[in-house]
Amino acid sequence: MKTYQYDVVVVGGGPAGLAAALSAKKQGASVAILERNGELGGILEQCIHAGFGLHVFKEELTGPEYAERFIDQVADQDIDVFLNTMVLDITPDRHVSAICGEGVLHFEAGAVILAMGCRERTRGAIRIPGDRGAGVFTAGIAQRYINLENMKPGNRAVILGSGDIGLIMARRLTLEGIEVEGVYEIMPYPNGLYRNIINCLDDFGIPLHLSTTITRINGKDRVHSVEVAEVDANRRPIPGTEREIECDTVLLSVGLIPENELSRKAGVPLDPVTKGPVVDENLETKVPGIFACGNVLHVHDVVDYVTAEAQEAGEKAALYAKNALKPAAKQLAVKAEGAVRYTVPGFVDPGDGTDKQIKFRVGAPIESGVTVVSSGGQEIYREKKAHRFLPSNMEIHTVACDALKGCTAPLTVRVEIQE
Amino acid sequence: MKADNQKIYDVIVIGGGITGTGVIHELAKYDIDVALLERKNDIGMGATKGNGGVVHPGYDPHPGTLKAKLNPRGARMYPQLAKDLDFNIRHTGTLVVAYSEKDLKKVDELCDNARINGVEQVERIDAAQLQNREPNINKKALGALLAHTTTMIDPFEVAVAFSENAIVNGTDIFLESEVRGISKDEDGNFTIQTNRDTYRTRYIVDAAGIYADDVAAMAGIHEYKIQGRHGNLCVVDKNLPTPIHTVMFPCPSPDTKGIALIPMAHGNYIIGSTATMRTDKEDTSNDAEGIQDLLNGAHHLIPGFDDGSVIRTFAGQRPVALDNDNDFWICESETVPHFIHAAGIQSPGAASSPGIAEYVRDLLADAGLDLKPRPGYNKYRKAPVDFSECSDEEKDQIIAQDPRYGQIVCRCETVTEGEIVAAIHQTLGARTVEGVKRRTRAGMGRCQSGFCQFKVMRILARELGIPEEEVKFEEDHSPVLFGPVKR
Amino acid sequence: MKKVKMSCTTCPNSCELLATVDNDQVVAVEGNLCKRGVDFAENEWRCPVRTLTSTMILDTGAKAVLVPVRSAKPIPKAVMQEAMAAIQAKHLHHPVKIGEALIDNVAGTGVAIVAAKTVRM
Repeated sequence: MKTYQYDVVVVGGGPAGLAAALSAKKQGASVAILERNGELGGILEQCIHAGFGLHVFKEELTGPEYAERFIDQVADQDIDVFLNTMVLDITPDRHVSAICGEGVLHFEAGAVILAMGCRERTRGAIRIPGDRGAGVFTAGIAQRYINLENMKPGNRAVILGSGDIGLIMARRLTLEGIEVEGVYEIMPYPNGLYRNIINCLDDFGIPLHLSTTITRINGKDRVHSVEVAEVDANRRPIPGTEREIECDTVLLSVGLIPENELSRKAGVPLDPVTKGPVVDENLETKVPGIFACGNVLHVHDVVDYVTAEAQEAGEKAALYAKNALKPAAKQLAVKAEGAVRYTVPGFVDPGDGTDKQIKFRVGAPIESGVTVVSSGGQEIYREKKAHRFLPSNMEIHTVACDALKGCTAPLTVRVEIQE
Repeated sequence: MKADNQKIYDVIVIGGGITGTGVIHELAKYDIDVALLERKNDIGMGATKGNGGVVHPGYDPHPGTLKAKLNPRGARMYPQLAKDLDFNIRHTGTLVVAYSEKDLKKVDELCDNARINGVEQVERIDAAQLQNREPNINKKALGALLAHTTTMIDPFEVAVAFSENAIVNGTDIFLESEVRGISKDEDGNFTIQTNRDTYRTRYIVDAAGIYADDVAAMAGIHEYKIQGRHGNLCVVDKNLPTPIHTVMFPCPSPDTKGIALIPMAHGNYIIGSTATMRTDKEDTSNDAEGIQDLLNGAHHLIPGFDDGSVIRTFAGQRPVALDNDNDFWICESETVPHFIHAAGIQSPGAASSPGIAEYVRDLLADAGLDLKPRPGYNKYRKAPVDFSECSDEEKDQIIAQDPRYGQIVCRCETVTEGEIVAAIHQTLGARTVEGVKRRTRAGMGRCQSGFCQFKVMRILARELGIPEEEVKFEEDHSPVLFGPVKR
Repeated sequence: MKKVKMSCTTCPNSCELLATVDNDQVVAVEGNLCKRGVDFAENEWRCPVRTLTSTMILDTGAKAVLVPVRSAKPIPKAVMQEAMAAIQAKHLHHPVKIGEALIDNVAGTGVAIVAAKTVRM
């Protein structure tokens, strides 16, 4: 059993972990990254499509390219990277235990940054009835098989859910000669970014069927067909609209869930909506010295925002480890209202003289609206230009510190609909 | 393994579920030649794997039935078997929850049953005691039966343990061997024809589950009929926001114990199960109505139950012998001597299995089989390492010997590469993705193999020496992959 | 003169563009939040282009490794399948460095297919 000590231990070497580690290092902290896979980069390694880096690098990169820029920086820094190392436990006093091919490792951390990312919702979670043969994959595992393992998961696929990975996979399958019959979405609007619908479906003539879902999967050994049906406003299948579609593969792109099993072990309270930790503006969880960033905190739409958030977490964690993070004088809750599903952070210190960035998503599309933040009935922020709000897009707004001065009531965030 | 066509077995057991494997485990104690024929590529592929895993103590069966006799007997044997055969057992107790005066009467009836069936530590508790034991339970509950001795097992794991112990003691197990014909020879022995080979035996134990009547019919026996009682089940995440500690049932109806919420041996929960008779014996698909019934049932017991915690739904069929008052059908054939029925093993089949095995042994002895103790009999079986249960020191030691134990494959259930390799090479090893899952829990967690399936595929292909596209998911024609994308 | 609706795919904003086309030329664009929307509309009208990404086989002796690759610049939609075929036909036998050109001029576009990752053998 080996024991190590670091100012900052980063759990996860994907985009969030990499940026957090670099940022903590910049503050002069000693930093370790613990990564369960054999290389850094996380999910970006299988995201070979372009579309990353528009904000951070002002150019459009593929996932591996985006990752490599950070991996190179980490390699240039004095940051210890533990690969093939799986964290098994984190205690509230920041003791991290992990295993690797050399045995059990223990880390005493000044601060811990949770950067474990998220996982995909599965067939079981959405409870699709039918047979249980082979051929039902999450879009992410199909992506792994095709892009990294060089393995074909099927010959004719139906995709359920219009999340971004599902849309991207529709294009990947088609380009690699695997037929995609169509994409089916239970909601009346698509769940992925609009540009992915155009680039991945429209470009290839793949139909998107909204308000339609898979009601049954057939095939005891291997999938041979699915039954789809249109759904009503309550997402219940409409009798008489069922039709059977032959396919040997079903890909599911039905949502992502932050992976917080370790956070739970550390006693970190989670938000029931995001399924990620409740954090303050420093991205610190309710357990002192444990920070969270990236998709483990809330599912992001674009990796560039993950990077920005992780940089913030890295800096604050390093400060914490050196006892230089000013404790909040008082904390005000930030609350989601109406169409706003959640906010990150969940708490801010109104009097510390810094601007506050607030991120949120809406639960359903709004054609035109503005974001409004209030405290005790008093408006303290109003977005200038009305625009469209989509559940697939994360909103980021900055409330100026001046506006917050003297606020004593919780902040509420809502979207005001504009005609 | 290859059959020896000249050999005449003393007993051939048909069917490798928890009943058949229980029988070979019992018969392994004696100095006789025993074989088991299983049509699938793994044991426990029928009702055994589609099962909640509750070892009911036996308060439920009607006094005087075979169930009333064999269920308590089997249940009492499990704690010692778990020690000898090194399988997981979790002591939970059972609550049968009453919501009305009528229900409370039923609870009293069941308490009386328990006494008659010889089941100890069964009592009626009041609402306060119930709330105290299970704070998340429905506040409308008036009281409950509490059976203290209920345990939880994984029936598949037990079937493997039974089989591996039997193999060590000389039993032959033939997988992928579907019985196609049975004839009685002039010398009084049976000849059994399978899709692969021919076997000869003096006695047959028919433990073919849902197909037991079809197997019997091959020997010209038409003494009973089997139909499947189909049940939907849901697996629930370990992190249920409203945890429970005790198996919970509502008050039973004549055909079913009702929809229960069950804390499983490994920390997950199961909601099970619905009960509808089916004529298609192969139909283990599940249905939306059934799943909804399960969720309703869970909410009835635990009003705050979180539907989002369901990680998997599946279904199984339990073999019911028709016109038999829901009892087991275990006896020697009236028309064909030396043919023993171990059929109609519906709930509580898993709980009864060790009891059924002894009963079948006695039927064989009564039918003339000479049972002398096996010289050098080994009553033990060692389970493969469960890494997640080891201390840090043990983990270090194991990894030092084999670094593959330092590589986590399934992160949800903390299963290492070393354990998966061991599961493939153990006495009755895994051959399929699902076989690995049932033995190691890899892929059984909340991500449902989203992260680890490709690793399991790789390991299976490597250890079995086959390309990945030949690795099966479960059944014979169930490829997961179709070869390289690029060549 | 006619008005053409299109959705900009340059960034996640996905601006809904209204392009005014005169004499087969885009003369005005509305609805864009930034200048890239104008470029997009012009391209999309004249000759829609997309960045192509895929993988290329790297023979390592043991199991083949896939190297992620991309077109260095967007290429016309019309030649996607031809470009895919060229990528599929090519086998690499040496380590590659990110940005290294693996096919110089794919499908006659003048655009290179480059490695999107550094892969050591």
